[in-house]
Amino acid sequence: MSLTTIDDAGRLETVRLGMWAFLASELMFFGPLLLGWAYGRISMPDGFAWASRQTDLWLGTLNTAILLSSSAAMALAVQLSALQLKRQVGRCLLACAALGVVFLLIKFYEWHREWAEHLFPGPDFAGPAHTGAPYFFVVYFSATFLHAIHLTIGIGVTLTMWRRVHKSLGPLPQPALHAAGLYWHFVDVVWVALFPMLYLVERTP
Amino acid sequence: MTERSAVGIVRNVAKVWLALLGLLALTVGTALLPLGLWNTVLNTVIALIKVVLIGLCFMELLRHDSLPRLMAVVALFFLLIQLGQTISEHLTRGISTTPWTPPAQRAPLQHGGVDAATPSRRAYPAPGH
Repeated sequence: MSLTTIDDAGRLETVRLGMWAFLASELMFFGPLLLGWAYGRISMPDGFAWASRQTDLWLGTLNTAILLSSSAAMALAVQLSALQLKRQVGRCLLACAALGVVFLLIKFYEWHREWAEHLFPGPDFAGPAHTGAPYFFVVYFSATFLHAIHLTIGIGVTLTMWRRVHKSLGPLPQPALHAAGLYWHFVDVVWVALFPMLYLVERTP
Repeated sequence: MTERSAVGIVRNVAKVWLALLGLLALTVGTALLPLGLWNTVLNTVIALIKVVLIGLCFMELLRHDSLPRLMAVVALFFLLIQLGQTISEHLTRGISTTPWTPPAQRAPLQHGGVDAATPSRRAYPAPGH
């Protein structure tokens, strides 16, 4: 039985509203990072431009494409759940989680390279220290690390949903699927904002 | 929510997905052109379009329940207040400044931290005395 009773529909709306309230607070959580970036971009444009050119544009672009694709898979899972297509929903959830894992692996590789190139802010910083470049990398590492934590939680939630869908004998847990979907899309939206902020600042000097 | 077919759902999601990938290609492509300030403007506008697409099509902000829509708008509004007020303060610091005046010359500090210019201030003994 899909959403045919008022109770089910009401429950779905309540879960969606609750999730949006949580996401609104999450936005406030990421807000100071946006603010820190905007401050640096305005006050230290040269350092930010130089530092942004040190990031790997192609890995960043690939990761953005991967995360956008994972969001599409999650949207498919949530929307197909209304039709009770259990097998397809399960596959979409698995694809979504797998793409999330690939994103994290690429991100770890990027961090490793940046660490080896002495781009982590500190006494060994390899760039022009006085221009604000180290400050850019403070924002870069904080933002990408915070995003990676959220993505890791998202992968855990998605795999939990996959398990629930896989094992369920009755109707699919639509409110929970919607909540998991909203969280995943939020993590994607944060990356969509971070990508131009971190990778695309004055690529052509 | 209107009942839709699986093929219709897949087709709609695929359209949005392709649009998002197209916008990603566009933002990377324009970032490689030396457009100056327009690079930042284009990056911001394209990112906003992507966010709106994800919000409306994937997060289903156009569903009949209007409270999540309100919640999303209010969250963005408060974020803009947070960013706008701080950045506007930072940007307008140079507009009206108080002329710099040198601090009053004080006599050097005497032993025990007593300021010669203010003899009435009591000097506390150092610890251990």
